[in-house]
Amino acid sequence: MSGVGALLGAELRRFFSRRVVRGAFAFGIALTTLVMVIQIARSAESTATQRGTSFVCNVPTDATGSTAAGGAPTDCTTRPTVATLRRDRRLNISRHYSEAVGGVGVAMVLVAFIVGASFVGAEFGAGSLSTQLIFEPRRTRVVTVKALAVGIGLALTAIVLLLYLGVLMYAGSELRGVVNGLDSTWFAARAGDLVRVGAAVALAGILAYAITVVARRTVAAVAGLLIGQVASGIVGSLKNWHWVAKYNPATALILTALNPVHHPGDPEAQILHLRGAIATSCIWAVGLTIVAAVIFSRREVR
Amino acid sequence: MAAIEVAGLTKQYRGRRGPIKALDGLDLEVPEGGVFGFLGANGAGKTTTIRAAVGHLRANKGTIRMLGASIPDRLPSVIDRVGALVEQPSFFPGFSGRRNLTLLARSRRIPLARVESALTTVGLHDRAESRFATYSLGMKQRLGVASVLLKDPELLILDEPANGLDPQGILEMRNLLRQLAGEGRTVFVSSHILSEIQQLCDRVAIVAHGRTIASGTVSELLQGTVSRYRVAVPGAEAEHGAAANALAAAGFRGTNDDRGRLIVEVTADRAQEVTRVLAAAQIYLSELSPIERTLEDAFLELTHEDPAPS
Repeated sequence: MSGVGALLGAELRRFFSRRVVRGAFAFGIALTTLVMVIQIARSAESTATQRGTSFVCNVPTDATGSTAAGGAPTDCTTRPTVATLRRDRRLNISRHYSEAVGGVGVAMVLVAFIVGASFVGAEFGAGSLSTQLIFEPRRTRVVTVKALAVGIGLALTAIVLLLYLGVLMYAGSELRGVVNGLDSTWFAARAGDLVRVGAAVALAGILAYAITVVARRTVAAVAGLLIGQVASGIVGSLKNWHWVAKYNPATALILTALNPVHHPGDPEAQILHLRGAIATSCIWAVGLTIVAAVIFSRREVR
Repeated sequence: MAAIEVAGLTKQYRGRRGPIKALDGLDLEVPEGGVFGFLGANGAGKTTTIRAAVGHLRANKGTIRMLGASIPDRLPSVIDRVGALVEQPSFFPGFSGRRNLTLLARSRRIPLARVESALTTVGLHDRAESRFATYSLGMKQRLGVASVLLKDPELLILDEPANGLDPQGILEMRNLLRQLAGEGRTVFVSSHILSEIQQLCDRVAIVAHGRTIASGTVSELLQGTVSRYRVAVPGAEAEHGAAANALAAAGFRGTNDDRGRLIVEVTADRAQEVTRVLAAAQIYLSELSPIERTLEDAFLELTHEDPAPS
């Protein structure tokens, strides 16, 4: 197994040396910084005065004070009104971080598709796999270790970016917002969010990687995923075929990254539970990796 | 034990116009030690044989044994003792030469000091930090050879290692391969540059149409059945024509070289007959000198093509 460790180490080094990974990470850091700076600048509690008018009439009443039957409103007048509105746009890490992680997580899943596909697509393009196989001819091992490297690399990158977002949000909340409720329960829940998004990003990358091992081209893999998503939507709209749309990989990954929506008692909606979404994503990623490994081990390499 | 043993290797590709036979029962035995040349024209089956030997493709029929291990099943057990450069050297274009080698070394726990020594050996140390994409063809070839040296292999398999190298680079490569063979390693070189193989190799195999058509030491292959002699006859074109006619009448096959001199093909034991035939025709030659046979002559003869007069 030490051979696997060495190979995985080398693949991870290659993953983090790639310009597309470094570029995506730098872009993520820059975008997060920019968005947070704007959010911190806008973080404030304000009041606003809202002026309007109200329409007031006298309504005839009977002896008990109830509206008299058939009585029409009289003496209607328009009066000016003034309302004071309180706006709270302060950064509040305990409230906003979870929402941000879910939103950013979906974007990260989409980027992970491209990074995962290009990881091996670039190798097919350069022909470097033939050189690598002279150092490690066990192809199943090579395919599996590369899939692991994609998953670990993407998950780590995503978690580091989300932690950076959390640090900036905490700083902004301390400086110009609200910091409360950061107890162990909150930290445990947020750790769960990070793991969930990390897993979704990793599985998205592995899925795209596995498709590229078969298709040999990054573009073909990304296009295949998009076409698959559209096709599953169309097929899923047919009677008795709803499961196709529900259990397609992109839906499963996005639901893994987002907070799960609970639909207890609906067996068809099991994927909408967090566990169901993760399980569906895992089945797709592992299944496609096995298919990719089988095809790659029999294929001629150039 | 032979370093490489190939028996009855057959490989057929599916083409648009039907199957294409790349290998047609190829047999080969590469003894341990020395430099072995694998000669053949483009499309003869050299690269297909090498690719099958390193597990890049599966043959339809036949067996391959490398360092005693059956290929491809037992390839992982001997891969650390084999270094190979197949076709064009292929590395990550965005990484430097050093980074490419380092990643390969790390994947097999090869000491990183060997990366530096391999870069120095192939003369690429000064450009090691440049991106692979910026390398010239010769530099890419040198990096490919450096990757072969990383494993400090017993058996080196090099597909056209002189590709893209300048004359100085070819000379350095030749010296390096001789040096490696001198250390007791087996160097298997495929090439279609016959002069290069003749200078470099101890033994050669010639492959054509997917089969081995000749194999042996270089000197064995150069001892063909037919030798060639250069005949110089003083005088003008008329005397040359008369000499050619007299020799043709006696059953000798003759051609003219690019300088108009008569070249006669004759076995060594019949060389004196040439002088007798010419003398009988009142033609007195001024020179009858053997033309040194080259590997190119042997190659063209074996592959049924006319050798060019030298």
